[in-house]
Amino acid sequence: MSNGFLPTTETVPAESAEMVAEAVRRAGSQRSAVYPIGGATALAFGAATETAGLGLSLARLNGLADYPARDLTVTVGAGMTLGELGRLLREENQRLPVDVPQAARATVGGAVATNFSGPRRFRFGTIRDYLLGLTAVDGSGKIFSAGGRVVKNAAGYDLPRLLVGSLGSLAVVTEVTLMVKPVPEASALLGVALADLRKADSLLASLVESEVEPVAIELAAGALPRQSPLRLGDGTAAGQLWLGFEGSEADVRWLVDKAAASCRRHGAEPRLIDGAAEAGELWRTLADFPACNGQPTLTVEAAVRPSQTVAAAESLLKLDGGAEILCHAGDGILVARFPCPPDRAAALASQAREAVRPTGGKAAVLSAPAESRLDRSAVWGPATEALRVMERIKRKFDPQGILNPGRFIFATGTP
Amino acid sequence: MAYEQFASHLAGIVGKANLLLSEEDRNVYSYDGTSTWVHRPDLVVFPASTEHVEAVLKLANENRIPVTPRGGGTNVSGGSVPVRGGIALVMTKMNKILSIDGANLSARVQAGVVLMDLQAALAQERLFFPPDPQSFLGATLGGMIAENAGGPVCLKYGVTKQYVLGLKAVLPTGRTVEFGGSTVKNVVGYDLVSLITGSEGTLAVVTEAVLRLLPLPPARKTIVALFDDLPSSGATVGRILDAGTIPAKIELLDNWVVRSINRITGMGLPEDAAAMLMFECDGKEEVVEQDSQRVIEVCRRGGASQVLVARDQAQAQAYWKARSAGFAAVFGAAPTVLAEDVTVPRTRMAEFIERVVAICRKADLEVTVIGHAGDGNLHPSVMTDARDPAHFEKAQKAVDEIIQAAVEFGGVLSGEHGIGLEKQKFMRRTQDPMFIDLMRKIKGIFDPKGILNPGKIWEDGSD
Ligand SMILES: Cc1cc2nc3c(=O)[nH]c(=O)nc-3n(C[C@H](O)[C@H](O)[C@H](O)COP(=O)(O)OP(=O)(O)OC[C@H]3O[C@@H](n4cnc5c(N)ncnc54)[C@H](O)[C@@H]3O)c2cc1C
Repeated sequence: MSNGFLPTTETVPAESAEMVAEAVRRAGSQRSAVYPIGGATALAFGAATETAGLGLSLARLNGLADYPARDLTVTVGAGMTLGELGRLLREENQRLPVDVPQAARATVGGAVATNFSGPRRFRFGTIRDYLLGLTAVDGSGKIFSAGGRVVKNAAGYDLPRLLVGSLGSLAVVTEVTLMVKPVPEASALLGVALADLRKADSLLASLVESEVEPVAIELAAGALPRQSPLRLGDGTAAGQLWLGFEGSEADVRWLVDKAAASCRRHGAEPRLIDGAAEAGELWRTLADFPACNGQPTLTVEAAVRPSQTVAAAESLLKLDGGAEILCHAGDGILVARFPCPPDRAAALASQAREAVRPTGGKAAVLSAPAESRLDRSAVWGPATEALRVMERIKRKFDPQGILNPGRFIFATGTP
Repeated sequence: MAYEQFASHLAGIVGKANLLLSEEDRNVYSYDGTSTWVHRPDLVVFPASTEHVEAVLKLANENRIPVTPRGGGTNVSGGSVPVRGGIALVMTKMNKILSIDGANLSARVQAGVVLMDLQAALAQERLFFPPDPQSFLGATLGGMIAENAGGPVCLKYGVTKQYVLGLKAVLPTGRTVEFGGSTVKNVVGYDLVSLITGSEGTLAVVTEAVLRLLPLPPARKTIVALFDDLPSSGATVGRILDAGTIPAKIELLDNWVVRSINRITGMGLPEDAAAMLMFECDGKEEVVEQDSQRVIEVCRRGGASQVLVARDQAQAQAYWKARSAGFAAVFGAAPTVLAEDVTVPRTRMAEFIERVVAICRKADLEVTVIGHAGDGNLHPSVMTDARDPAHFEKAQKAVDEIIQAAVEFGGVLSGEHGIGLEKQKFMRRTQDPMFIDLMRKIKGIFDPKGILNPGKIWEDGSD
């Protein structure tokens, strides 16, 4: 095992879509698996697989193909890191407003495959909302392009979106066209310590009433609020609410004042973080939280209706008060990290899933210790009724089942 | 199965009152918003529940009878024309708003709910569903989902796809499947909600949808700017967006529509204006004020000959009504109107419109262009008469050239109306054959016998 998570026999770099296609075709003729690898930041995501195969590194497919900045679109190789993309866009005062953990290493193709997102998802959505078109190689080694390079397109089925979150199980993405946005003038975060997690609900409700429009609503709970740079006050709070604001200087000032007043009415003294460096570090900390940290931990992501966020967080904390939890409260998404020896991971994942079930929630494992070798149902939970349709789609794109076998929701050997 | 027997089976499922068989009645469902396609269905069925839809599809699938879903029939790409006959499955009796959940900014609706009815109900809770096709009086949520409809405010808020959390849909084989759900994030599996949304009723019949909502913006302001030449209006749009101001709407109207507005409303706009831009800024009062000021300033600096600011909502509404009326006049101006829906990179919009005008001038054709200027989505409409073969052929050739030009400019052939019948001959020319092949494979998974809305999107004699 070359990287602890994937049973790759060797890893070879691809420098063009044609090289990817050729590698996939060759693997197909040998009935060997292909594991596409971008920045290698999310290899712990997905079920453990035992099928040996080829690691196909896309890191060198990292060129800038086209950047007509005034059209607000950019086309890049799938292996470009989000950090590099951000740097290119900043030269034109633009950005991709999607928070992908470990942006310095994570690649655009990986972001498409995982659909990871972060705090700013509340206002700006995920990469699927910015993906206009792509080129990819399917499981039989054929190159295809779908979508376009303009911001609005209703020509045919949305295959780009079908690939978002498919964890490389349908095709290897080689190039993407993304919509980008202007960088806002100002960005600030307002933090409030909460003695009682339940206080978050009423505070959030009053913020909605006051027409304060944050771009992010983050709720930290469990052991997380005690950690720098999140730590507020004496660090004993049960929870912490972070509201993110972006826009023109005037907008942000107005929003922050209004939100702060709302917090004070609720008896909470907010702390404002608006210096570029300090705010930047805090945004990064929040965005990077889900990243696999190499410790023996289990990280679970749960989705509930937004109004159930606090209830779900409390249920998860009942499993282990020492868990670190970060919720994108506006979207009802919780990321919980539990200290966890490898042999406890499967049981804990299932307990976490049970814990959010009463709130109508679902859960998936983002990462677990490599030795825990979690299987499909431990990682993804019970199959949905759409599974059969998904299996058939998988078979059409990847008839031999060689792309990332076993990592996604299908049994190894599907087809 | 004989026709009568099949019809009586259907009557057994939905009830006699929900089945239309007379020629007169069937004619009503033989066309949609497109003026060039007509085909009569053999039967018209109005399901009242998901169970009805299941049973109808099961029966049709067993007997290989084509089924064409239909909402308000307002689409302009031939999507709901039953070109292979069979059943027109009209969803308009499934028109209940099942729940509105303000705390979670979501609503569950049946597919036949008309957009305007939904907006009226949401407005009472100070909420709204952003996508705003200008056919809101008739368009249904099911039709909007099938076409991934957009509209003016999509510049700021995005298209239908961004507001669908979950779908209950019946596969052509008669099996009902729930896709997605009521949470914002769906943690497991492929994004089939996004696959079905925009699939033009070819993969499944949507019976219910869970929609994402937004709080109604407390303030809005409308600004109208007139320009003596097209390029200045295009550059102005660019400058406004470059500055980071994103109005909810930026609509572009050409001289034809300006004159038509004058005729209809007597608004007295300059008859020789080459272009008119209409803006709506929305949000909090303070922000709207500030954004409007910026828009006005940039328009003035960009060479606008006249800038009008609506003094209140009543006047704003009058402006927007004038726009709709001005555009609606396009469809009355000729027996057949070929209304296109291309998207080009927004920086090349003015250049593209000039090309369109040149193409039509050369062929001696009347053309008008309006569009959602902020995202480069333009609707050039060529006026012709399908009953005059020579003229019609000339017009079709011009449309070919227009679409070719859009692709040459880096654009696509449809921004929001879909392919349907109207644009399918361009699919093969402008899309990767592998992409079409993959779409057909997906179609085969959902609809092995090819009974659901056959003959649409890609050209194909076989299904
Ligand atoms: C004056 C005018 C202005 C317009 N403005 C806009 C605009 O601004 N933006 C825009 O995007 N469009 C616009 N349109 C186009 C059209 O109104 C939209 O595409 C609308 O979404 C169609 O909705 P409908 O209910 O009328 O669907 P229909 O026209 O009945 O059907 C459209 C397609 O959806 C399928 N379908 C319908 N219901 C279902 C269902 N329940 N399940 C599965 N498939 C289904 C049909 O088979 C068909 O393929 C306009 C049309 C007109 C006439």
